[in-house]
Amino acid sequence: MSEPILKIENLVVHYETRNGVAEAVNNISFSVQPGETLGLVGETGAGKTTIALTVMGLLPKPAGHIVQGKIELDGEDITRYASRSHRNNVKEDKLFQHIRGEKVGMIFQDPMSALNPVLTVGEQVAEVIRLHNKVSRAEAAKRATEMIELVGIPGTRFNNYPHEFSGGMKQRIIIAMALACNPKLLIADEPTTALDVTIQAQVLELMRGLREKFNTAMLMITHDLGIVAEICDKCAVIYAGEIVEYGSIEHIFNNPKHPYTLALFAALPNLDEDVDRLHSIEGLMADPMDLPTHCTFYDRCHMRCDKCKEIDPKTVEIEPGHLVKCCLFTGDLDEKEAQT
Amino acid sequence: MSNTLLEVKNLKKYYPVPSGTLHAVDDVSFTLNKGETLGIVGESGCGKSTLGKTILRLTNPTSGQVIYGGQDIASIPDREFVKLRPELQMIFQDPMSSLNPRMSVKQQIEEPLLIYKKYPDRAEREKKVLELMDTVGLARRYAEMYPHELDGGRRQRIGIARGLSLEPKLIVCDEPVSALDVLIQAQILNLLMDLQQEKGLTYMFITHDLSVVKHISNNIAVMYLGQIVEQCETKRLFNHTLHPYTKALLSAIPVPSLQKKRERILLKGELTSPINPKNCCRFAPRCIYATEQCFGKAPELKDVGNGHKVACHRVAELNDLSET
Ligand SMILES: Nc1ncnc2c1ncn2[C@@H]1O[C@H](COP(=O)(O)OP(=O)(O)OP(=O)(O)O)[C@@H](O)[C@H]1O
Ligand SMILES: Nc1ncnc2c1ncn2[C@@H]1O[C@H](COP(=O)(O)OP(=O)(O)OP(=O)(O)O)[C@@H](O)[C@H]1O
Ligand code: SF4
Ligand code: SF4
Ligand SMILES: [Mg+2]
Ligand SMILES: [Mg+2]
Repeated sequence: MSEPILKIENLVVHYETRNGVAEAVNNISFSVQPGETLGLVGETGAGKTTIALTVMGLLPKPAGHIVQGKIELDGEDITRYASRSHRNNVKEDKLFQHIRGEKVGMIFQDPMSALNPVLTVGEQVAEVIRLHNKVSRAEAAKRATEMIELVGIPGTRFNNYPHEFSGGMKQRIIIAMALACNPKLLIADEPTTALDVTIQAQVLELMRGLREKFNTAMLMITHDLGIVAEICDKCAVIYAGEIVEYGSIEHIFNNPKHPYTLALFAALPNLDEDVDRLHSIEGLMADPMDLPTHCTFYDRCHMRCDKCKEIDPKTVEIEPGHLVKCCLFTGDLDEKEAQT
Repeated sequence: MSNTLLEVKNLKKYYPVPSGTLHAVDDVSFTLNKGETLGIVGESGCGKSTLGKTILRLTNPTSGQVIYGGQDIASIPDREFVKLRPELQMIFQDPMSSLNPRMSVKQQIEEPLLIYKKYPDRAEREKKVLELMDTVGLARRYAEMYPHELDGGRRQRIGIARGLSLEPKLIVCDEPVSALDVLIQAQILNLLMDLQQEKGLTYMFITHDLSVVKHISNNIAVMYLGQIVEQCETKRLFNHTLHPYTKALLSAIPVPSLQKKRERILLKGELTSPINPKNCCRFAPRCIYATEQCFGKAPELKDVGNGHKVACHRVAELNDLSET
């Protein structure tokens, strides 16, 4: 097997706020091989964006901290750079930006904050191209126009400003910018949330093409299980900052095991079937400022038993490559209990 | 119909841009009954948000009428409109840009109550704010936190609480759940439907998620580049899809299953620019059925039976319209 492009080991990230410490990422490990797409799914607040920001070295200052763990990008340990508080001199900062810029492209969840309101969208895409390639202004503008058209926006809108674009169109510009530099790893944070399905299908097609052509690895953050089925090879289901289930998409879709993963599937509105109420589970995501020491899903789990309240379940491999973090599978319960 | 809450007639919203006039909303008409939900779906940039904002007068229409409560709210003077404002609310697409970053959760939800001088008594107002937080499922401990400290789902709940605070009659929901994961999405959709039952609310529900719109709407209007191309009762749209764009749209839905794969109609071809559009079917450059006629003349939105409205020259040729 080749070297993973991204390898995260035992990552713990906290936000320190006036109101306490938010334990956003709790001991997460995974790796992404070149050409592989890993989906990160999970509820809002699960810590998905935080993982992405950490890899990008963009944790908000001063609240965000890497408490523990290791991040390797293309074989290089970047943990030190990724933690902003450690990146105290300009030289290190530059160096990191360079490593990151060469290798990682990111599509942000919130398109507005990633675009400069005083530059036209075309200029912004061209700027990214010039940052990564030694090309003339005219050549960059030409390539930028191509990229803009590739994401389904008429090239004639090159000279529009971000505020003249709809939410989804801004998102497509962000996607064009990220794809323009042919990154080895593309981190996409809900890249198609604002897009309608026909454009989404085109964008996913575009990403698939990129993967085939350049063997780009992708970290696809989404809450749309349809997209995961469509484009991912592997999938990690995240709950309260932990991976509760991990496996190939065949494992996750054909043989889901964790009660939370099962709840996710049950809550989907179904096109082929009419229901009056969607199936949801009561309660909110565990509070990252006040996480229990036992299973974090306990309060909402309909398969829980008393044992679950006493232990923090270990992660077990229930079949090769399929990991689940739940008491039902650790052998801590006897068979009879597990059936109820 | 006495049951009509809102009637939109030939509404247009054009923006002047450097290269011409951008037709964001171009001659849109529909009626919306009290207590019902109209779903608006369509491609990103097709004018859904602009339509919602123009109806609620958050931006002025270029022409057309919006009849609400017997008067054209698009043309009444501001001081008259202000009185109606609480009845007409919007829940926004992008929670971050519609929230004030310097206001706590409590202040955000309190703001509309202050502006419209509801609950002048401070203690009562605070009680109302906490009630609203309960209604949308925001734990009370978030009251003093700021938007940037919250995740997307909780931010959207603030927007929903604000939208509900003035006890509106009509709410334009602009992609209220697209930033949310399925569990919270299911909770919020159930919540919106419960509120509708309880308070007789009327919704215009903008989304690009067809499974969501199918679940929540009585009727659906499909938009393409500023215009409605197909409109009918929800079930009918899925069972008797007539417009080629709607067909492509339905076929492109990603299915959360590895077995059920849909035959996909991938749209090729150039997008028509909404700037100075020609007199043609705006979908023609991407439509596999396009003929010369389609490039020469814009099709009208016509009722082909059973209230099913379609704007396509070839609708009768391409579909069996007798089947119901
Ligand atoms: N700047 C911050 N200060 C304090 N807490 C924060 C900050 N940013 C995020 N958090 C908290 O960290 C947790 C994880 O947030 P994150 O944005 O990573 O979630 P997410 O999985 O991306 O959610 P979503 O699907 O809503 O985008 C949340 O509980 C959030 O409230
Ligand atoms: N202030 C503005 N000035 C110029 N053009 C604008 C302005 N606001 C919107 N537009 C244009 O109007 C069209 C419709 O935009 P709108 O935001 O209504 O789309 P939308 O259907 O809501 O898309 P999305 O699903 O991406 O939110 C787009 O072409 C957009 O670029
Ligand atoms: S450990 Fe217990 S509470 Fe947690 S998910 Fe498994 S069954 Fe549910
Ligand atoms: S009018 Fe012509 S181009 Fe337009 S949708 Fe119908 S067949 Fe296609
Ligand atoms: Mg996020
Ligand atoms: Mg919009």
